[in-house]
Amino acid sequence: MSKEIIDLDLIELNYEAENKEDVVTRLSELLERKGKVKESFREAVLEREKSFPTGLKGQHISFALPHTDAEHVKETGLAVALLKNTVQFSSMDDLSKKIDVNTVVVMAVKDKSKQVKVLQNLIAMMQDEEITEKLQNSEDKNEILKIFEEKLFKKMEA
Amino acid sequence: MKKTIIVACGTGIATSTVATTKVKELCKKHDINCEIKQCKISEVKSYADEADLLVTTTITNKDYDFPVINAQSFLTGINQEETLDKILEVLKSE
Repeated sequence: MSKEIIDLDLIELNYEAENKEDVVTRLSELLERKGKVKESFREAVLEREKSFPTGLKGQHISFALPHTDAEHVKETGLAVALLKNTVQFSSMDDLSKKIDVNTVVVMAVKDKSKQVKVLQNLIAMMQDEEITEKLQNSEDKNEILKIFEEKLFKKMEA
Repeated sequence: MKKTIIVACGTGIATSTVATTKVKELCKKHDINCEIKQCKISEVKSYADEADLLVTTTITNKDYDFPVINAQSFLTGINQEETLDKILEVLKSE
C-alpha cells in the first residue's frame, strides 16, 4: 500500500508563528489529523528539540527539521510551514546558538531504511538556490506541493 | 584494515540517514573497507570498543577515545568538501 507523504493539507503558507512551539504544534496537528502520527508526537518533538535541536543555517535559507522517534509515528509524512515571520530554533550543533528560520519541515519518519531517498532529497532541496527561492516566493500552495512532489518522490511504501 | 564508523544523530533516524549515505559514498569512491553503524548519539558508547570514528550531525558533549567529526555540513551544504576530507584523513590513517 502506498500513501502520500505530503499533500495540500500538510502545507502552511505565510504562517504567522509566535515561536517554534507554535509552529511545531501546528504542523504536528496537521500530521495527526492525517493519521500519520500519534497524539504523543508533538510533545515528543518539542522535548527532543530541547536536547537535540534541529535548526540549520544553510547557504540560501535557514530551516529547521523537527522530528522524533518512530514510536510516535504511524506512517511517514512531512508537514511544511513557510513562515511569514521568522522563529528561533537552536542550532543543530550548539544549543546556545539561535537561528532565525523561515522554513520548517516537521518529519514523521517511520522506517528509515525505506526513506533514505526522501530524506536525502529533502536535504538537497533545502540546499538548492533555485528551489528555496521558489518556495520563499510562492503564494500558491499547489505550486509548493508540486515542487515537493517533483523533488521528493510522490509515493512511497507505507 | 576494516574501519568501523559510527554515524549518529539525536534519533538515529533522520539526519544520520543522510550522513550515512554520504559516508558510504565516500568510502566506496576511495575503496575504503568499512562498516558503518547508524545510531542515536546516546547509543554511541555501546559501540565504543569497535569504533574508529564518530560522524555526527548533533551535539556531543562526551569525550571519546576515537575522533569525532561534526557533519552538519552534509545538511547545510556549506563546507561539505572539508568535512569529507576530514573523514577521509581519519580513515586513511594508521
